[in-house]
Amino acid sequence: MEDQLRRQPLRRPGVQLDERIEALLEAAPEIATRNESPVRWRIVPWMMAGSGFTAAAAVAVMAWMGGFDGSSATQRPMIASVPAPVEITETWTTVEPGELIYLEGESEPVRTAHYQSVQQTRWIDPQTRARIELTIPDEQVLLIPAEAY
Amino acid sequence: VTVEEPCVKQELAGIYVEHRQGLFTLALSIVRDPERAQDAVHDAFARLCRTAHRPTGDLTAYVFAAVRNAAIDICRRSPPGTVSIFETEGDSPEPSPAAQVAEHERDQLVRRELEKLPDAQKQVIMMKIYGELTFEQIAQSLGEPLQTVASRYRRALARLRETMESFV
Repeated sequence: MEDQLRRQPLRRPGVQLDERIEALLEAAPEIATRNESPVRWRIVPWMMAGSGFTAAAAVAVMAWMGGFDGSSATQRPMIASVPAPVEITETWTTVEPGELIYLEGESEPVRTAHYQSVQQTRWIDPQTRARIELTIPDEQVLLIPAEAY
Repeated sequence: VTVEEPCVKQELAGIYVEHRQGLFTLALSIVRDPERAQDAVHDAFARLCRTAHRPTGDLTAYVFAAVRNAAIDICRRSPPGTVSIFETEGDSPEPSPAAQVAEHERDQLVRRELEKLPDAQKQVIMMKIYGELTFEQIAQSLGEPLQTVASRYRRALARLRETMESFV
């Protein structure tokens, strides 16, 4: 039976698909190869977020004092003349469907879905190239009513 | 910190080259439209390229899972088409030896019965037969226990076999 199935001629993907995937992979930034366990995934971004907030506070204080380059307020009296940092925000989200469960007191099942998102904001000072990053992770378990067949 | 090895993009490219047909067939079995099946494969790779870190576990299984999810997402936006995963006679680039009447009918029957299988069984067949994944990879891809996947595969084959025997 398996041989018979394998023998059947399949529809083939077009050359356009190869070109689209090739373009996609060429344009994409490299993906970090390190594997992180789910626990680390939850902990590490929060640590990064913590350090991000600290860095953001430090930058705000430095900006108030006169700029990213550590010069004193007297050396750089006009804060307004310093170009504003460039802000880049990116968000990654994944939703993975989970198992069907029955909630207490409910007759219809619900499907769990594991939602994860990471929002990363980068501020880059165009003059000094100093940069800080703020990473805010979010993780939720969603309950979606399942269709009964 | 820049990690030099191994390059995930190269791994993804390798998986695409090796499993291109299987990924497309899996997507086509869900969306039943060649254009949208290609969109599903593209969407899945686009999502993978946006991933911040290499997914844990078997990357091939992860890619198949991503394509399946992308295809299901497409079907949520608009209903699936009616196109089969198999080439029709007219699409075939050269006459098949199976053109003899009995063989031809057997082929038609097995294709029809495969299309009639429940989605869960059909997707296991797609991944195993046309994606050439192991049961472990399929289980990981579907997020199901290994035994469930293996028995689903056996049930699907048994059902096809029964139909074929009744034909003979």
